[in-house]
Amino acid sequence: MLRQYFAQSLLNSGVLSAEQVRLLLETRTDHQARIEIRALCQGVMKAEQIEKIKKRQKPDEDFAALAIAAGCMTESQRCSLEAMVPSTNWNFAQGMLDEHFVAGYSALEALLTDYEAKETMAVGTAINQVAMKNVNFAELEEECDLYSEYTDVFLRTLSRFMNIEAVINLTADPFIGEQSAITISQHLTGDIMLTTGIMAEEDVVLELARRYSQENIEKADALAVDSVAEFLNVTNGLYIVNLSNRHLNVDLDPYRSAYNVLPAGNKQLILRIDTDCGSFDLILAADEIIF
Amino acid sequence: MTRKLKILITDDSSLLRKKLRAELEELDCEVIEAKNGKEAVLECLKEKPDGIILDIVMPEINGVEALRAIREIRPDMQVIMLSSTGSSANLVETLKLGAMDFIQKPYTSEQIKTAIGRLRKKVE
Repeated sequence: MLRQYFAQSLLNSGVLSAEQVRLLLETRTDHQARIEIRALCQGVMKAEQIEKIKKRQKPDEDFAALAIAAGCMTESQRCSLEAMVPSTNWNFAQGMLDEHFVAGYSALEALLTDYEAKETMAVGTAINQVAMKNVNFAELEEECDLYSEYTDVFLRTLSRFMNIEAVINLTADPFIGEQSAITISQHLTGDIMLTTGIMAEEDVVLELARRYSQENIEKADALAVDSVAEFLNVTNGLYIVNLSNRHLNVDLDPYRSAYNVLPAGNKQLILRIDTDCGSFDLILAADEIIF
Repeated sequence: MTRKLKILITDDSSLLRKKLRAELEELDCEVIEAKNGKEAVLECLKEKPDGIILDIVMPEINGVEALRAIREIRPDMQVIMLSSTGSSANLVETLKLGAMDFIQKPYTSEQIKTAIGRLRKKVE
């Protein structure tokens, strides 16, 4: 079963480049997972069985019918697989095959098996890599676990509320210095001190706002900024609930926003987030980033 | 036939006010808005709503402080807290101050409908 961080895991281990991942995220709706991928991802068929059937499949023959005749799949499993709404990660795996980013079903199966073991570490591994590249890692070592935990919640809420699949780009330079970037931040205060921020160009803010609000917002105006801020607010609220389950009491300050600022927080880490609606920076720091 | 409830939405998010207004109007409520705690207290005095939907994290005066001030002027006011921050300290404080409900953002239409139904029973 493919879960949230398959793409991130492939990026972390160098199987795919940032460009390949971005292409697959942008074209994910063009790659609708076929029944072979569904069967592989759901553990109904092994790659070896799929490849055997593919080898003898004629252009006018139905793969599932051949798989059923070969005893690799039941009619009930076929119905169930066909009825499932394909997850974006299934489509991502289909895209890898369609674009020849992976050699075949066996190679994909090996990647899936490897991913099972690494899934829980995907975000932490990415954050450590970015921290080592962009900042003095020793200064941030203590924060990396906190930042990883927060980023995990952030990426899940992106998927849940905006249907956005995202990865942390390991090699990109941050946006700092770009014109017309909007920064939205919110400070968490209490048993932990954390400031979270989103910095993006106007067109990306607009697209994020449209997706979150489900309103036809036409320009990156106050309503657009407000919509992205509300997304950040909701994300931070959910993160606080996680913390309160561990008896950590944390509150939120009202959000702040500004144009063309140079975020300057203490123990600051900037993560470039690549999505199918453009890239933006997620900024994490121990204190306020907008001055 | 039930009368229209007058509900004051207090939230610094214009998006949330817009969305919630649409939900409440569907539920046959008259809606007024405030974008922070200070405005909420003033609107309470001026408009005398039947109930308030109140955020916690807001500039100027936050929702907990606003609720405290509202209790001074309208001890019987029905208040539904709607906030992203569901920390235990906030929950305890708002319940102590007599909030009738606490809804964690993001809300669902069903949660709003249920809360307004309860509010209606209390004021009628």
